[in-house]
Amino acid sequence: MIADTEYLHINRAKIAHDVIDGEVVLVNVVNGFYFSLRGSAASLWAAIEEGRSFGDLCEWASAHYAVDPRVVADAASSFVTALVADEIVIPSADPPPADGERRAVPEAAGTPFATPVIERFTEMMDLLTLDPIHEVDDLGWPHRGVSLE
Amino acid sequence: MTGGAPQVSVVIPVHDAGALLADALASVARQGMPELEVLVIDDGSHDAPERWVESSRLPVRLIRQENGGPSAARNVGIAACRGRYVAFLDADDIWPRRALAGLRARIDADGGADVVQGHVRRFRAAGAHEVAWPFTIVGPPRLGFNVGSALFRREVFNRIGPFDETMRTGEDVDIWVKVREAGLRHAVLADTTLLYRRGNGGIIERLAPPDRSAEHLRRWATILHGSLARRRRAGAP
Repeated sequence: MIADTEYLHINRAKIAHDVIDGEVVLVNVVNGFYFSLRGSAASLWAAIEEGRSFGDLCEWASAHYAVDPRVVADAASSFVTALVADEIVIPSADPPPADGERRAVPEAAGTPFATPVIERFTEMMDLLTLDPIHEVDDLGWPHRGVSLE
Repeated sequence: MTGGAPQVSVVIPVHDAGALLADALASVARQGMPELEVLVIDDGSHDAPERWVESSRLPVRLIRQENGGPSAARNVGIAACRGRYVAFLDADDIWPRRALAGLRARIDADGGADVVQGHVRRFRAAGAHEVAWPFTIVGPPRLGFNVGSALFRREVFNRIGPFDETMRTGEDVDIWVKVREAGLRHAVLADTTLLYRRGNGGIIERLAPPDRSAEHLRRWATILHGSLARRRRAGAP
């Protein structure tokens, strides 16, 4: 359970991500899992990128979607819990450092709120963990401790 | 080469590789395979790669194009080649002796394999654009993404399409994702089949390490987005 006062740090040691055509694609470069966030999930990811606390994220989403705060809080809690379980984000009492990069774009205000869905894919894991930094470093994988962004 | 169609076509994209191209061509000559077709695709070089082609001991077809990147150059090679199999060698890399023969033997023996891939070892030469051996091997053999470590049946590219010409890096990762996505049969050799040169100032190497990691790995998200989009269009995400 995430407390309202907690912040969510993108786990940059493991997660590469980008936003293409509004879809957030996240890749865990350690285990080869990858994830897709669309619709409300991409909107909540945008709020995470903005460095909001969980309480602030819920408040923003409730206003943005004009929906009951309790509905948003339940959905966002499940969403964030799943992100934490897959080590995509790390809860912290401290706000994340500003990186100046904001990529995800929320759905248009007033869009009907749908439960955010994390699409999770594992079928490429053996391929994606072959040698993820073959262009990057002499010694190859693993390459821990270096931020991916 | 005998009178019929070549069995193996070797496609070498080159862009201002200088004398490194001579190393690459020499490594092709050391493969000991007579039925080779070698195509060097000059991707808008400014350093007259024909001098290295002419000095090699191989019958090479040199094809010139405006600079379009390695994907575009490889695609020109795929379109022009006649071999039953296609191998790719970047102009700054080297094949170990008889690597291609090992790949060929395996794909011939394994009639169901669409592509056979060996392992990669990184190396650093003594200095920039240094053609003299010996060189330093860096790190253990790895089954990497370099397409130069593999031998493809030519029809593979009819099934997965050409290299993505919008990509100047990561296009090799994209090809392996497409091979997987298409359900093609991919066999693996334990042998090292590619020596991958480091330290020659390639596109990625021009970036400092943190940006290098970010740029390369962000490309993966783009590649996987493309894969998801294709599968969704086909109704099978």
